[in-house]
Amino acid sequence: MKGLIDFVKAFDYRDLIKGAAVTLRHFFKRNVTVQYPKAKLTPFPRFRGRLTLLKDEAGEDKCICCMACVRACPTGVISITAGKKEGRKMRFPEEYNFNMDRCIFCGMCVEACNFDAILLNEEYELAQYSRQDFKFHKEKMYLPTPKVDYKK
Amino acid sequence: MFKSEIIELNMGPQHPSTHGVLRLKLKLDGETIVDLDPEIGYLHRGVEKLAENFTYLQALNLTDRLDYVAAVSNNLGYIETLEKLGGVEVPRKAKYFRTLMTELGRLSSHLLWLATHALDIGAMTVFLYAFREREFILDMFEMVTGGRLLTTTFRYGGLKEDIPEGFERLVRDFIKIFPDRMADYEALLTKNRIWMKRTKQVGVISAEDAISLGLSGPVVRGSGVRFDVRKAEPYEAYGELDWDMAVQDGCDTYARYLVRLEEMRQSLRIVEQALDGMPEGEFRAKVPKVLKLPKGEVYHTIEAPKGELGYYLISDGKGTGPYRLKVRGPSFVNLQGLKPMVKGHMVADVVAVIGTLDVVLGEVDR
Amino acid sequence: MADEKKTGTPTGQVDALKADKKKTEPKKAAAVPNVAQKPAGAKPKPAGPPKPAIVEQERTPASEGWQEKLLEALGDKVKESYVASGEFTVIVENGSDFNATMAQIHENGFDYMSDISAVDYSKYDGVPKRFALSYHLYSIAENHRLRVKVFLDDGEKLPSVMQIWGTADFHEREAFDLMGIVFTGREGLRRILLPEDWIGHPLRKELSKNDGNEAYTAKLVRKAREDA
Repeated sequence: MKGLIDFVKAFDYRDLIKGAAVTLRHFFKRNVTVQYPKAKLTPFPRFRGRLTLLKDEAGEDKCICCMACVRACPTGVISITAGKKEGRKMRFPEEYNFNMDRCIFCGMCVEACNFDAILLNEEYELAQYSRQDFKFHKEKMYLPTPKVDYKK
Repeated sequence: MFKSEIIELNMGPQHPSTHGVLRLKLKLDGETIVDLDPEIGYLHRGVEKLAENFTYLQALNLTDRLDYVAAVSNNLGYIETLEKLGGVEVPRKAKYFRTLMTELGRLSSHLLWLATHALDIGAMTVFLYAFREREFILDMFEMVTGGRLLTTTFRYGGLKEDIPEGFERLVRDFIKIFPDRMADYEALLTKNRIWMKRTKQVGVISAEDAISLGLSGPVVRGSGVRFDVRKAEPYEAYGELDWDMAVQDGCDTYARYLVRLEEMRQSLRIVEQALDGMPEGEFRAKVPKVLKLPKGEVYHTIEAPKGELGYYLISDGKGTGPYRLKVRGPSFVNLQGLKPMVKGHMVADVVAVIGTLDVVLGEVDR
Repeated sequence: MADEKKTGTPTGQVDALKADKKKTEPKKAAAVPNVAQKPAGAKPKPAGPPKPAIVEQERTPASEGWQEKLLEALGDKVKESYVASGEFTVIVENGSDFNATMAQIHENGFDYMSDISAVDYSKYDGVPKRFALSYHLYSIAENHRLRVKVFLDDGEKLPSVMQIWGTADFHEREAFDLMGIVFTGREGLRRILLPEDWIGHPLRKELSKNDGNEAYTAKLVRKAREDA
């Protein structure tokens, strides 16, 4: 008897129809996806992208080489050589090297900086063609980022 | 004439349904599993050793990478451990916001679990829907912290930055749409006959065994044990909010599925209440810039999405980093439940049971 | 060969980081406020000259009812007990009756084992022996937490508690793997996170974070050469 009831119940397709109705409804809804290379999303202002050096209004480096970012970095990707310049009381970064290869984009350096001299910008397309391109020197570290020529 | 023979089968480490690099050495009699030995460690990065070389703040980055689908919970557990040893009082606003963020993290983790668990068992549609909702939460994380997955959310004594403008609207939108989406998942799965056949009476574990094996989180609550760290030892704002613990008596994969769905509903309740009751004021207590903790030890646990997450921190009082940091990952312990759960089942059920345990190999291997 | 090159750079960088850290760490407290040029710069100075005393975590004797009851039940098996940061710690001795003590604690309601942590105290002051194991126990019914601590010398063996709490299996294997503590009276004590043929126990304090990796890589290279 129980077998017969189970057999009859097997033709009760309400559970499957309910599921199919959900999928069918979604067929008429708007897409939520973005066609990436053609359309792009803007990250939020706090997005942690590539490390960037900032300049003040006069076009001078804000960085005074206190090495707080070097100490704060968990992976040790920042190295600074401090230099002296005439007409500037503070030291300035003669060299500011940043190895994006090993950067984990945690933002500890920006947090440690007392002078708002560095920033993790909003770039997220950080792929490069060669490993050497991940080694950023001072000139490459300002905004806007130098464009890479894509060759076929 | 016919001789039966027990064969050994390697499942993983490169198997799509082991959710990472988990290798299982199965002993099979026909298609029935007679024994199983999990081999782990393929993702071992030495987090505990690295933490000894880092400062307290730098070690926070390591906790992100434990359970990388619920980084907020890991951050919270670690920061609370520091605060317990340092004895700092966190402002109420930070407490509420931390609760809110952690519950969003739980939602995102459970959504990922639901998506992959359903995909493993064969329901592809849920995967796409759950990932769509998870995207909302990741957007919120990005708005608050700048990171989507590895959030590095909180700081010693409170929050890193104040709550951004527009965050509340984003969360309110989410609260509005999410119950409908939950109904969609349920329509697709809960009463579905294939789903029920694949999950009911699969991976059964009794309450006694679950406690003895140290299982925690939804796994142990699916066996009828009323154990939730959020209720037992309320931290942050959990004690002040109104929510229920999700418990089921089924002891099987289906019961754990129901527990996690109910937890998602409760999380949404907590998020809404925390948002409504968000106090004004400071978001970070006054703390020194270079953190030094007194000489001593603490063990602190929180309820992560996977279960009880514990940090055992020892400070020698001299350095600016931990002397020893031991992480009690819930996935690591829950993985021990795999063997009793799948014994006597078919090979295909292993996939269902791994899914129901919700192991994240980043946390298992550390 | 590319691999060799790859491992070369990170270690170099890490060493540099370490050296940098060593140099800067003692200065840190004074140097950071100076750079920031904040009035707070005066703050660390008074603490500076008379050697910065180590602040200890506060310890109080057991005061709550269940704690006293447990101590009474265990009797003289407990060497020391205290409450610190709200956590009740009981220190017991390793010996033939260790398992009996743990079983007694289990009978007292601590049915759930959270964690076993092995600690190497060799660079820590005021600790009687080199290693320590901390058993973190929890009572689900009564919502109490307990830490049972046992100190061990180098090479000292300890009875396994796998018969009492089944969860101890993975935890003990981990303690053996990373800290080299040997448990007796159980099966299958082998490495869990590291490869079977790994050299040394990485969480011991005498090893740096790169030592084990270098030794293991060298071993693999040697083996590959022998095979070839």
